[in-house]
Amino acid sequence: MAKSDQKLIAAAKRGSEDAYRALVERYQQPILGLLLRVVRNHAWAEDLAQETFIKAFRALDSYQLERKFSSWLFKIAHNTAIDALRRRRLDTVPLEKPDADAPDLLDCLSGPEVDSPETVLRGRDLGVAMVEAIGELRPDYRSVVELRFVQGLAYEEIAEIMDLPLGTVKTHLHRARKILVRVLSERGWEPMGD
Amino acid sequence: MRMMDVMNRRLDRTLTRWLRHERAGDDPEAEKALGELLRSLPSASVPAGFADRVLRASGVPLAGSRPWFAARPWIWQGAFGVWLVSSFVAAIGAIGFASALSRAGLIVGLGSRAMIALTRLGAEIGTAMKALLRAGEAVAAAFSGPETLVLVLGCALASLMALGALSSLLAAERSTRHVESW
Repeated sequence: MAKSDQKLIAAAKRGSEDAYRALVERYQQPILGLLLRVVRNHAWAEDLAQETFIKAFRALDSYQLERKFSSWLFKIAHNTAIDALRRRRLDTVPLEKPDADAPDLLDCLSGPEVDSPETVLRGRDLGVAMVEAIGELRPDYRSVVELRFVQGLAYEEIAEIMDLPLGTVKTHLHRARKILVRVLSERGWEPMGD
Repeated sequence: MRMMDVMNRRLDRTLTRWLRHERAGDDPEAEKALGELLRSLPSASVPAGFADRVLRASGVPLAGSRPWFAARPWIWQGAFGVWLVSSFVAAIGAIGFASALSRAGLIVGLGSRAMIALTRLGAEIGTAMKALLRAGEAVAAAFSGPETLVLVLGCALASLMALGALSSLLAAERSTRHVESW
């Protein structure tokens, strides 16, 4: 049975390497997902993910067990990404192809076994279109989209992670959705049957 | 129907559902559909060895790099205990041995031999010092005559003049090279 975050953290504070490893393996995917969504570069996201975990482990003594560890970790990741973007002064970064061994985001959307070229094209294009449309958003909008829609976090949790009022989080999400609809529509994406 | 074909059609249906709810102003359903759409997209792949790199960079020792006894504190505690006990016993024994020695007068005997050895060493050093002093006296005597004094002073003066000339030559050489480099 998987240990709770609190138990793993307590063990990590006692110097358990297994506990550290378990925490990394538990959160590496969501943290990398958030960072990739914000910075839109796989290598950069990996570096920032590593930086996030290092910061978290070094600050583990100051972490309060009553807080949700995932929120605390996401907060560190979000701040790390925003700081990195500020340092580079780039708002959007072109989407890069991941390393050769990792499955390509685009490749996953279609494959040789598909027999309908239109479906292949549409499915593949839709994935690209969605990723590019999200890339059009501001970094903080990208964060709320990832945290709300992919990670499934509550508004309150997102507000805590991003240090924003609850109302602002809802506004960000609302505006992000409208922008996505507009961008997709401009690229010709309409509901099927329209 | 192939798996990818199914997936792509599902994406399409989800997209349609989302866009229709957005148009209808149904925010909760629109959010639900958008979430489904985004979660359907491939997620970020975690590169192999990521956890190892994080642990290494954060300073947490990896299991493979630590010796087998490092993870077993009882071994350390046991070794420390053995060391403590054996040191205590050795200390008690040393005190006992020392007191036994003093009763037999061996310490006095050892001390006397040490003193003799030191005295002999001192005498040898004294002989060497005496020889050095004699050599110094001879040199001083040689230099006490006026002719020798003049010779020595003359050599010193010539040496200084030669040093000055050499220094001027070097300075001239540097300035020439500097001009040639322009």
